[in-house]
Amino acid sequence: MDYLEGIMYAEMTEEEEELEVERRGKPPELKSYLVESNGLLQSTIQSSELHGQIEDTGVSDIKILNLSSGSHSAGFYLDLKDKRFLVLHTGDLAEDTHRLIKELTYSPEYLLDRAWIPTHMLQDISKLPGNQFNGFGLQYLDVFAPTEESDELDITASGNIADRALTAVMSESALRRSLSYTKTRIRRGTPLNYAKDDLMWDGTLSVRSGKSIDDHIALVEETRTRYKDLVEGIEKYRLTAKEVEGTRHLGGRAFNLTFDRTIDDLESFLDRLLNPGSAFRLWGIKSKIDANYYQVLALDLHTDGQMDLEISTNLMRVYLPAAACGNSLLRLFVNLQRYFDSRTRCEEIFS
Amino acid sequence: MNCVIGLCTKAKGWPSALAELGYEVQVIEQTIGLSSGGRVKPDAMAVSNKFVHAIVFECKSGSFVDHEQISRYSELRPADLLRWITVYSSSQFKFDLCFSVFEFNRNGIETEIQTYPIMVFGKEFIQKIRDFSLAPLNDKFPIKVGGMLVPLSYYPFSDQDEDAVIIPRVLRMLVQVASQRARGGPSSLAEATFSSEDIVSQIHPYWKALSTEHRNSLGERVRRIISRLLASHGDLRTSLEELENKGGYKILSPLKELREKAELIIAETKTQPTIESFPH
Repeated sequence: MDYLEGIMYAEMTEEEEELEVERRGKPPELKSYLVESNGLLQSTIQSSELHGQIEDTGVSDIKILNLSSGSHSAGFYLDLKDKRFLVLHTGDLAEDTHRLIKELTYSPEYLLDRAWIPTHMLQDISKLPGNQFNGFGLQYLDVFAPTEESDELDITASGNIADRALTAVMSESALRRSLSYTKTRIRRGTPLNYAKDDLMWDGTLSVRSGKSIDDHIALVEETRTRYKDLVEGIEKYRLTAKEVEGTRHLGGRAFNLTFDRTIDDLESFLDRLLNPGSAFRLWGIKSKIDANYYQVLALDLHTDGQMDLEISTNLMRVYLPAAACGNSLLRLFVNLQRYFDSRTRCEEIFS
Repeated sequence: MNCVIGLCTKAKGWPSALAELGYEVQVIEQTIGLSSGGRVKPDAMAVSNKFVHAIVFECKSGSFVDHEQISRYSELRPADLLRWITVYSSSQFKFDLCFSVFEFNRNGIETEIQTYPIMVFGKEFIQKIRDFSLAPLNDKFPIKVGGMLVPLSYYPFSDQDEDAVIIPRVLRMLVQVASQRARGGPSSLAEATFSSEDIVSQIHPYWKALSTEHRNSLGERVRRIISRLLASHGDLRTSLEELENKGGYKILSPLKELREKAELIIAETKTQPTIESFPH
């Protein structure tokens, strides 16, 4: 904690925080990455380009992880208090750390994944007691429209005008399905002792200004706890057969994702959704049940887990089998919000 | 089965008529010993703790009625069921046996079964023939389903289904196993891989709830299908091998090929004549 506090001591002032990019000669920001793990992290990391070593610190559940890939290298404090939802803290340059974390979580060997924080959760966390909403980032790119008609939106606002800017944008009906949050900016603490963080949709928390390590860590822990509850809540709905007094009882049900935007061409929509190179990272076999109803037997390429989908013009049912990871559903849900319809809803996730 | 399970869950695009009364499908394919001797094996049992009532489903896809089976069912008592289901109060527990049919096989079944409720799944409505013993349940019918989206994935197939229904899931399983090779998993091309119940069980979401006989039968069926597919589609085998050898990287190309091959195989399977299509 002392080391992390040392990074924050040199944090930017509120005036300087508006400069989005870490610059040479200025102190890099303290960053904390929330990562989901479905396996045991080995002490040595070795894949085609990524190399890493985990070392003990003498403190229970805190390790040091040094990562490198090509010309990029960075050191992280690895918080293993929760063996499934890990946090990696670093004060190294974002240019290096973002890339290394991406490589680590994309590598098929380590069963690690980013957090996928839906718009609702970003909003909810910013409103928790002790947190003060201080800004937002919205980003939307329609990957399902033909290229020449594709919509793109990128808005950032912070400070006192953020609330009014958000209200103005949300009041515009033509934009409502394009308002996918990439981040919220959250201030915690007192006027003199505070931390102001950008909480990103991918589970990255970056301190923009302030020196209160306690407030930053409190926000990290709130995010970790809420995200964990969300994933584990999803996993309660997996299709299972549970032992109940000597008999196998059925459990689980489908998740119902509903869209405000209508899918006009299901065949074309599914071709893009099931493109393995896309952000959705799905492979699948589709079959046409009816003119407006398809079934997809999908694989999540990140976890190699199965997922069954039933898709109509405004509805997608998702079935998770017993071995599926709840993070898979959140990846699908968040990417649909970012790339198809920011008003995608799922009552089973957010009632 | 999917329709019945769907009625017992709160799904969008499909009515939740039974779920609204508190029913949930607790058990499928359970052999039940009768206190009078003999056995029955209903396809599903939906239980409502709100009404302390169960619907015992026999799902009929054809017109054949086994009268001996009906005779055994007539001896089914609440105490026989309570061994397998969970209810709040065993003393107040009641049940109804119900035959579920489709519109196309309704007539044959309706003629043969004169004493029990029948649930008829049609394109526009789910109707009932004869009353259940529970008034709120009777009040739910007819249930409108026209224009709705029948759930397909709770119970995707049984060993009674044609290969055309099972093959898509087998193909997905082959690709899944091939992808997992990079993490030290077994090979999709090794016969021994699919002798493992851990692997084969992934073919059906409710595998562990199926009867032992059904699991054995399905497992054998899946292994036969895999053998046949790999023997008769050399290009499928080649693509799976390529996927396994890529070690998790640069897999986009083999995955794209596998999807195209899978869809071709499925299309071929659907156009192949079956024994039923020959005149006899």
